[in-house]
Amino acid sequence: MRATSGPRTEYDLVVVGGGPAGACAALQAADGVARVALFDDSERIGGQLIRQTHKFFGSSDTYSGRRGFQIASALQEQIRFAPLAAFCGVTVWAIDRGPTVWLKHAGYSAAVKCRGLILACGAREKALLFPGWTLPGVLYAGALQTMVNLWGVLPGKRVLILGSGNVGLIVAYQLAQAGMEVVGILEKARAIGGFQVHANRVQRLGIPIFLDSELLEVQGSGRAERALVRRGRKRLGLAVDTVCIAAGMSPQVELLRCLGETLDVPLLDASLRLKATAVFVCGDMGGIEEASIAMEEGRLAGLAARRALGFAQTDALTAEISDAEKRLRALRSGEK
Amino acid sequence: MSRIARHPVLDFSGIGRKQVTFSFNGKPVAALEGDTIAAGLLANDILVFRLSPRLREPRSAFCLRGKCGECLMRVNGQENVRACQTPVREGMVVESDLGAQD
Repeated sequence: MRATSGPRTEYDLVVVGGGPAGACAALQAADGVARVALFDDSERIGGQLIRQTHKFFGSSDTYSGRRGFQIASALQEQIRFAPLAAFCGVTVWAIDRGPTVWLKHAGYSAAVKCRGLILACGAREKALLFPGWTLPGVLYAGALQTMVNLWGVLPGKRVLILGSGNVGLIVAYQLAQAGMEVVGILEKARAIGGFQVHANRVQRLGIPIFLDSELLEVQGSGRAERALVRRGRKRLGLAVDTVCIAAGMSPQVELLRCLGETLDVPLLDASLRLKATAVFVCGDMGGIEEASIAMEEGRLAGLAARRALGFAQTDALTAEISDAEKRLRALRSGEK
Repeated sequence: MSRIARHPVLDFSGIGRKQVTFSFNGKPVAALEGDTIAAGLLANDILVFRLSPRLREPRSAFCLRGKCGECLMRVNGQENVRACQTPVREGMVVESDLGAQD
């Protein structure tokens, strides 16, 4: 149930992050753990799914065939009726091995103790620096998705995409859907970075993918007006008013730094537990994959946290955990 | 105004959304109920959110998820408000935050 008052000072389990991984972890854990709290710093549950219009693949367990924002609504609905306290607009800014989490809620700071902690803080976009990167009209892919898929606001008329990974391919399709002209997708490597199925969709729209190509500079006075591009050995100028940076993602691991973890991708055991702690990590925070895997990882972390907290040491739980591990393996070996 | 009128998947028809007027650097801006400050500005083609403190270069929205700090503004006198995370309200006074001056 969504909490109406502030969080308590103690829970059995705290989940940080309400994206696909954290939401599924909280739901799975709430099935067997007495007091579960979920904290998310945005205004609603769903993470990046809320700004996705494409249909996801995976399995029926992970809502395959449904659009991202529809999966987010389904998760919001389940959390509303689940025996857990979900708080949006709450930023967790520190943790320790207690575990204790420190959060900012309604302008105040508070410490919340717990026995188990699941971290699902997601990822952030990688920056790409080039001359002109500060010009208005140069934005991260996620920012453009926010504009066209949440706000209904057009960023401009002509956009150039930097990067042909899945994010670049998907955002190209979404910007075209919104009515922008996508002049092309630049890829520095000699092969497309993302799944072929996404590449096919943008190519069917007539959007060119330029391999062995890179951005040299964005020019303009007051806003982006022109992109200077290397394509093979040639240089060319493209008239664009928007440049989309889709250079990949990196796990958002700041909270793990509080525990002295120094790696950019945390080392976890098979049940997603951080060694010698009561802390579990799931979703993109543990390494960049995609939403259906994040959901299954969340479920696995939720089950493993249940076991670690001693709420149900049954054979049924052990079987559920090995099922979750099996589903994850199946997703990871699945078709692209 | 550059709002999306037609979309194959999403409904942005805006039916039932009331107009909300706020001011940006003294000029009135017509937004819609539910807009963030950044959405209201961008929908009105107001792209330059502020000038950088040292070189006075134009800066605009960058991450739109409350992380980068490029859209910080002074809202009803309060400094360092994230325009991309703050909903507009009728009569809100929004000003560019020019930051520390050299």
